[in-house]
Amino acid sequence: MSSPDVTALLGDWSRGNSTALSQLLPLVYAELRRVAARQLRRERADHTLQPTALVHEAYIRLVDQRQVDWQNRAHFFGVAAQVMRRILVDHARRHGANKRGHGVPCVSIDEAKDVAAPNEIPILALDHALDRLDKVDAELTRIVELRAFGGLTIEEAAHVLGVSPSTAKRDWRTAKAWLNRELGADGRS
Amino acid sequence: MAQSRTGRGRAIVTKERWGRVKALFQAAVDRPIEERGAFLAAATGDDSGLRREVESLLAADTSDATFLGRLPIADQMIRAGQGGAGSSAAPAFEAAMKAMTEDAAPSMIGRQLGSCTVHSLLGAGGMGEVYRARDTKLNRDVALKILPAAFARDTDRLARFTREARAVAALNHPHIVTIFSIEDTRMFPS
Repeated sequence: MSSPDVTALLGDWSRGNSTALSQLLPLVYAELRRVAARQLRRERADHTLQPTALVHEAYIRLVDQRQVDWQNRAHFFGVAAQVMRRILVDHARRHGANKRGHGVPCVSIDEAKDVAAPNEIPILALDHALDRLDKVDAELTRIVELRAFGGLTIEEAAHVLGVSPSTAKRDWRTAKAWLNRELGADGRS
Repeated sequence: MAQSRTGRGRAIVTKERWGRVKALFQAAVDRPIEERGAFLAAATGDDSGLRREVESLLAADTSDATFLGRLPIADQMIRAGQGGAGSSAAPAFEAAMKAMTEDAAPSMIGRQLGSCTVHSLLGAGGMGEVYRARDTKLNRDVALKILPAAFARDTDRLARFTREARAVAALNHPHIVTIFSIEDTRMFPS
């Protein structure tokens, strides 16, 4: 199968072309999965995966190393973070659906808090909350994705977002406060 | 932007309003707790709604029991993150990787989809995965292109997938694949 040029797509995306992102997501998804599956086959079950190494390996395989610029790797981690969010949400939905024996559950935030099945519902609640946050502040959503799903440090996230580490740190704190409030961290709900 | 309400009765603010709330929150949170009240009173004037909004965020900032902390995947990240910047969120990543491989394609092999039995993975690309399969009713080998589950709920992508199939089905050429059918299976692995 011919594969679209990931290097070019990363460049397009970093210049603000959102269509490039929708083309990148499944490519990065497929490659991460291949790399993860190979590592899991190679290693014993008790051996933990090395996430950064995995993403880096996928990056090396997908991106033309002769054309690498300093931002490419950071942007690749940004795409990987969004892929991870989708995977976790999909996984949570499926497992929730299996247990109830019917289709995809639609759970509101309040229902999610009431039923509180800790391993699956919070991911969906977080996903819904992030969708709401995205409508008012897309930058904050990105930083949560990068930190929570992408495994990036403040400095790395700042690099991907093109902001200073101090701005990233402030935004991360703001995003956490927003999510805490939204999702009932105060114990009353 | 229309205002809607969350289940807790709080209005979702507009972008413009949120910009104000965010700026005030970030300015207030850098100040000592005892100075925040006076700062907010001066900054918000008689807009008590704005003040309450910022105060609710400040309260969530100081809360120990963070919601993210209740997320198993984010647990270690948040605890490590309390001390400052630079913590790793590896547990989340690892959970995603494990989920990804659990949900992974090899489980497709051996499955029955309609009249087809899936035999092997031929390749994967931007728009899906292609499997070799056997149509046991018509006794012929077919290729099955499947949109990964993680993307099948993306309505735009699903529409593009269908559009691609229709476009190719409209063509008749020895070097272009013949489309036999397009099906919605919505499988959930057991």
